[in-house]
Amino acid sequence: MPQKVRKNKYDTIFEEELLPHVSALQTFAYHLTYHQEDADDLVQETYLKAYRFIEKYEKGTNAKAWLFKILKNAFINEYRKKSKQPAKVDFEDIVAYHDTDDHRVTGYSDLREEIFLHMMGDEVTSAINSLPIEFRTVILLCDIEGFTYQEIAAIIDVPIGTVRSRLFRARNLLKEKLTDYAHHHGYTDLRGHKKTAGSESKERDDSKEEE
Amino acid sequence: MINFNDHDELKKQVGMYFDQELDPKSKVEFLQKVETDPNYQKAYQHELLIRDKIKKHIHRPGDSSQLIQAIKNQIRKP
Repeated sequence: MPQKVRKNKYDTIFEEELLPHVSALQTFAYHLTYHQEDADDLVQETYLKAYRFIEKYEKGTNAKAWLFKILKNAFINEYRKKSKQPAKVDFEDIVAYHDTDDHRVTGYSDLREEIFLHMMGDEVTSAINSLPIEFRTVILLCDIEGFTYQEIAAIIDVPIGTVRSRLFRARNLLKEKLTDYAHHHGYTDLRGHKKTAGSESKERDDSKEEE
Repeated sequence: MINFNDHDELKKQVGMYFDQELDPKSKVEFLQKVETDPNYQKAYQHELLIRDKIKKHIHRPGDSSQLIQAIKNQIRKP
């Protein structure tokens, strides 16, 4: 006789509050591991851990932030040991080197919209993936997933000032990389940039309007 | 009180608004400025557009239904 699957209150919480975040976690995991299967394994491991400790989760609180924290810890503590990627510099070593505690805030005001005209989609992913891991993480958490600084600080276990600092540096790096991609595809922003030999032929007329 | 005249301050306020870092009072002041000041409106629209484009262009894994089913199967294992 087939046994009916029993649902307890934790199963309901799991399905209603935790599972809806699978896609967001997949995106985050993919950009940490650079590998789809590894990312899916990491997400699965995250959910198994979440289910194991679901008694600690308070219904109606920030399930998404809780899951991202579990995933980040799983990635750092266990997953990277098994990763198919070449050896990388230790996360915490990089973090200790780059971190400062400041209050600078920046957006994308100096990044031109025209840059995206040349992009097919892969360039943004490549640019983000080329950032050092601590910078990549804050861009993904803030700009892609929309977490607040306070939530990011809790997810990655650093002070809010450090989140600001990393985000400030991360966005500046990302802007540089996206601008480089645009230059490579023939678009040159004349504002504040020195011309390089041979670049004039690639400059678009519309950029002169910004002078 | 926010100094709305400074261009750097404008950029900072736009960044803070989109990062959800403005307190409620500053957020109201900022949105009022966006409504009435063309410079603020332009900066707001630009930031919105760039952030949307970054979100739109980033690689996102496709259908997650198989993964969801795999997770459910795992937790239902005796």
